[in-house]
Amino acid sequence: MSQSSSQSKTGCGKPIIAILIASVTALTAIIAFLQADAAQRDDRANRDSKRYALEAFGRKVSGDARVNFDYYKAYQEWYELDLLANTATRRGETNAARRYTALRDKIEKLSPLLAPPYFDRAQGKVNVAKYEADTYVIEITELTEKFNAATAVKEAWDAKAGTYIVHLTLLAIALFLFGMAGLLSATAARVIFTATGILVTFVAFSWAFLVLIQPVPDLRATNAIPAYARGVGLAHQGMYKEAIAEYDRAIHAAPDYANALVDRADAYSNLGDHLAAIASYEKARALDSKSARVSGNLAWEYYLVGRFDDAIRINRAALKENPGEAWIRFNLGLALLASGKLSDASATYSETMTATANQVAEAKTAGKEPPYNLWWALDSAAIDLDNLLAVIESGKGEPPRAKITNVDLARPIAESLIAQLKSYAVALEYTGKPPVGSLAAKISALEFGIPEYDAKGNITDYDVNDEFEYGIDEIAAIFDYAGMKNGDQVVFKVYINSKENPSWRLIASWDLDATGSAHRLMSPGYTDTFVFDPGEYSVELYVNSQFAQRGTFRVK
Amino acid sequence: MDNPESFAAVERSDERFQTFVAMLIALVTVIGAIVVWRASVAADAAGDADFAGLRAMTNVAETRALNFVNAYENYGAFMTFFRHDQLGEMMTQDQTKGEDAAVIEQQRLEARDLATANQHLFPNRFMNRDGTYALQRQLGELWADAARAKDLNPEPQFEDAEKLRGKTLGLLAMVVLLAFSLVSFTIIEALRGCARYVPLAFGALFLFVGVVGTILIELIVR
Repeated sequence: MSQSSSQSKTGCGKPIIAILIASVTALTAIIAFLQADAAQRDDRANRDSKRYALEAFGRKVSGDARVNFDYYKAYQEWYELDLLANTATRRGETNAARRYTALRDKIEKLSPLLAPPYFDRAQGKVNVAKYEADTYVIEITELTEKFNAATAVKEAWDAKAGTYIVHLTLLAIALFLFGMAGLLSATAARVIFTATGILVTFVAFSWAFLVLIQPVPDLRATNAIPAYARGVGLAHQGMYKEAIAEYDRAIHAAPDYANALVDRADAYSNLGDHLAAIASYEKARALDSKSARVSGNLAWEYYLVGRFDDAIRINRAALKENPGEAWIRFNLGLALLASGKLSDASATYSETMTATANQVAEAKTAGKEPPYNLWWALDSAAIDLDNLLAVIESGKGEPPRAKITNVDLARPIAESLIAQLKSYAVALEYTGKPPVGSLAAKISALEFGIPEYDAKGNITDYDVNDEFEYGIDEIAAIFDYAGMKNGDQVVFKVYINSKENPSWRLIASWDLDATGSAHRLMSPGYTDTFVFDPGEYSVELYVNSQFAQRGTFRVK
Repeated sequence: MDNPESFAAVERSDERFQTFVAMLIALVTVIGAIVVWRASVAADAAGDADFAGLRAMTNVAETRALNFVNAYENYGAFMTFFRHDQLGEMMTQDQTKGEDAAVIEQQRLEARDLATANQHLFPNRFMNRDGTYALQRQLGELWADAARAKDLNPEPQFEDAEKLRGKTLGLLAMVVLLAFSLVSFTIIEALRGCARYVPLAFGALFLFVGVVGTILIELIVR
């Protein structure tokens, strides 16, 4: 009786198992179809991303070739001929002036850069940024963003396709369990195998369904990328207000468009709207907290509005993700200094300078050039401290003076750090090692004057001033010195509007007396057309890589 | 019905039916395997077409970059030639206008020499009659030359890849139909009497649609 019952149950169970196996096979076919679909979308996006990258590369090279020709050849020819025409006019050579002018005008017809809207003939200036934007910047940006979008789509479909493989594996296990259940004669074992198979099938099916309904956003399907590219083109021309309007359009179309949020924040920052910049950077950071650029710039904006604790917090978080970023370390030191944490600030600057020296030493040992951004980081750190001192002195600028803590104690520390940073930059650049010892020589404050000559061409005196009219072609930096030694290395650096102009740099070996007065003439002697451009000029003097003295003058 | 002969006849009929269903299941399985093979071949061909398209795209990027760099270098040489040539021409015209004749003659000769030196640094067949340079024509010729040597049109390959992807998915959809057919035929085993013909009909329908669909896809997307 029991045997017949068992047989009856077996007879009833086997068709059910057969149906289960067939159903799971059908389900497997469906998920295999979904997997194939996901894999194909993955392949397509992968192909598209490569296609965009190749196209962007080709267009960048061709665009660069075109702009380089138009600026460095066509405009240079125009500029030279214009200069020659002016010089000939000044010398009274009218025929030569007429020839150069006529030729200059003919050259204008050979390049679109020398035509409106890029060329201001009256001023003789070209708007290269607009030309670059129209020629290739917008196009390249669009292609690059499409590349990024396609890569994101590829990754999403790749993940989906990979997950479907897991589901197929689970279904294969379920089929195995059902197959085992069909072979077993013991009822309990058959039920356990069948139930487990059903459970595994249910898990695989539910999981596959969740993966199926998960959307794959594609930025290319919105009109965000063209708007963003136009924004980049406008920002490239310094038209930040107009760029923000385009970035807004891009963000409206795709609220999680991180690049648009970051670039909009940059544009706000350039316009001095730090609160709007902070809001935009914060949104961007919520999408990508690992980016050094986003976190570093957000911390900088916090610093500029006087939120030093936030600046310190974000800088520290950014350094956890990107410990090698010297500029963020220096910004951390600056925020610490402004917030009154003076010893922490000094320690941070000191550690960063040592780390910089180690990086230079490692590069030299490996026979490589140290990364250029090290000098930039050291220079920028000194300039930022200079700006902080200017705020402390004048009460104007950013961060607000009222928010700076321990102003009297911060001032001497900032001055000392500036000297250290500047010495480090020069010492690392010329010796590959940190500066050794301290400054032995004494140099007076630098003064500036227009030299006065006698009939024999010797300088007799200087018209000393710290502000000069536009049109001057020669200025001398004048100083007294003591304790100098023959052979001491002397470096002069000239900054125009806070940016060093390396063509003005002078490296020399000291060959004057130990004590006395000296001057350094600033003027290219090979041309009679040079005049100083308007701006603020800062001249720095280094002796044996030690920052010795500096001075500033303005040309109106 | 109690007649043993009629009982045996029903059993024989059942056996024939079971055998028929088993043959259908085997047929569906074999056809399914064939369709999966065709889908796999199409997917592979789609990958190949993509690769060919990307190779053409690489050619496009390389050709565009090289053509622009070369053409603008030529244009630069032309501009230097143009400057010296025009200057020499103007000096020739100015020789009678009272300037120091010796100096102007010396400068004119130098300008002419420099123009001549630069004349060989660009293909002068692109010089227009008005003295300007046909840069676009040169770029067009360079492109046409390159197109004769290598594939510069990725679009047909990308279109082929898309078609083949569609074919792969279409064939896989047919596999799903064949799987439903398999389920239908398997369900028959659990049923008795006339009810068995319902899944049989569905199974046959799925099988038919699957087979016809596969043939159509193969014929349409080749």
